[in-house]
Amino acid sequence: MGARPPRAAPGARRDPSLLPGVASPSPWLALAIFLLSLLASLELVTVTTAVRAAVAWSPRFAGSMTVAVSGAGLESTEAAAARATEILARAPGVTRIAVLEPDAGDEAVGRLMGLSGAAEEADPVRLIETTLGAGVSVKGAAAAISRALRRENVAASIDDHGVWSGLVERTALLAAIGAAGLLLVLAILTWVVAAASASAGARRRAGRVILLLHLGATDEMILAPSRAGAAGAAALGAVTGAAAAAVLAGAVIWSPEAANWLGGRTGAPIGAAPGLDAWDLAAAAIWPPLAILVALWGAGAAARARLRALL
Amino acid sequence: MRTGSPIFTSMSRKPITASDESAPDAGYEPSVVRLLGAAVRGGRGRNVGPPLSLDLEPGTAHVIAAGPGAGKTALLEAIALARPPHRGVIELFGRNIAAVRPAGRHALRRRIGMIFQDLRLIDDLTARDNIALAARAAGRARDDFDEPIGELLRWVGLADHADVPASTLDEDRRGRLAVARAVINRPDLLIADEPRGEAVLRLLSDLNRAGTAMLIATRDADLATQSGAEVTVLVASP
Repeated sequence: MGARPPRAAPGARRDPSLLPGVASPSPWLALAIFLLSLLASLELVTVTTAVRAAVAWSPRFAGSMTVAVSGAGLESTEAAAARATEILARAPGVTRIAVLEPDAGDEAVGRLMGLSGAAEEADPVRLIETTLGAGVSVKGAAAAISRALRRENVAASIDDHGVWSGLVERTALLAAIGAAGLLLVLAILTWVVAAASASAGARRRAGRVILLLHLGATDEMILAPSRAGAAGAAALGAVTGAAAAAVLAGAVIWSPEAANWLGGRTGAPIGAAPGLDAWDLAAAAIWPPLAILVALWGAGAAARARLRALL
Repeated sequence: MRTGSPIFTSMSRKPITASDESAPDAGYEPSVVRLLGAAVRGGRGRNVGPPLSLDLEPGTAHVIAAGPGAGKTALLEAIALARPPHRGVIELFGRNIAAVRPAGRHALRRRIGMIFQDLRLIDDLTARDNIALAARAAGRARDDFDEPIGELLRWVGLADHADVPASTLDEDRRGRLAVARAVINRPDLLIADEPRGEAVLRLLSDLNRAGTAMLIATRDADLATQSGAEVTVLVASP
């Protein structure tokens, strides 16, 4: 007769797990959710930055205009600018006038024209930044000022910033819609990977699950470990993914070298992007709870469907 | 074991009719299992078995005798709410199982003890834990099942093997362990799919005499004839 197999010490006895290992987070699911979360959190940070920049810039464009004055005939640009300033000071609704220094003006013209040599080639102009009071119609004020300048024979053109503010607002809207769409896609992918993982787990343990159902286990007893496993993997993947996204975005904020390196590696026009703010990083925190809820939903639905198919 | 007295208890059969759930008589005790022309898809070739009618009353036993592939297991699974009948009605404890919502099936399953043809023990669990698993699946707390498991292991003669993995037990002991697991939750109905071994049959007989209704599927003609229970012979579809 062979030796008896070792016995468990009675004191160390523990209740057998209904579905051992199912409640532990799957490393593959955690990895998949990490990658999705990295993308989602980076997207949330960047879109928050873009929308914040648009929200900050749009009113500045909307409540101001730029008057470009040039000399005509024997009158110098400087003299024309001085006369234009006086006219603007009398115009209703104008609260602030700032004549840009020639260098700053040339630079602005060059930047706006998209030509580095524009300042030298173009006729000399002086730019006058004109700020309007709250509630003043920019279109109406621009028309009134334009008429006043013509009456006084000042050669000037007025940019009411309508082109720029409209562009910024449309871009912000597009960014927000695109971000929402991408976020929805990432959420759907999170649902799908959680559901696939739970379904595969249930398929692997079909024999045990069928036995438990025969023994009188409730659906909830079977589903709870699947949900716990999915929630654990989602929490692990989503939190680390969001943290990684915050670290990357933080590197762009606080380390120009890191930003340049990242831009060089990815080809992303980081230098042209609006400045990140430390508070923008908080947007990354939105994703993990969302990912956990979606993963719970996906895993629960898939495990329940598999359960119904089994017995 | 198989000489002399019958193994199981039988009661005289009354005419089989659909139960009227809306107006039960006072003190009315519904049949444990009632089949009304029930046919189940299964068996060899996934054929639909013949329609069966039977009435298993509390405390009695019924033997379903058939050769291999006739659909015995499929029929037992249907009664245990594991598959729907192809046609006809299956009533369990007075309830038409087709009307039981999936989320409510566990309550009926907890009133059934199953002894599977292949036993379905968890090999890497000890004998005690195999039984504890059934108690846990039925939602019982450890305080509630720890002592009964010890008593059950003594009753089936496995007290000395309580803490060894099921994989190390021989076939006879595994059969007895399957019986112990099936009865830990004090079922009103015990379903045994091709029980084997004298010891297992003795345990089933004891349980039936103690009042547990029993439905047994077997291909053993001797067991069917000597059981003393009502016998239904299931003929395989061509």
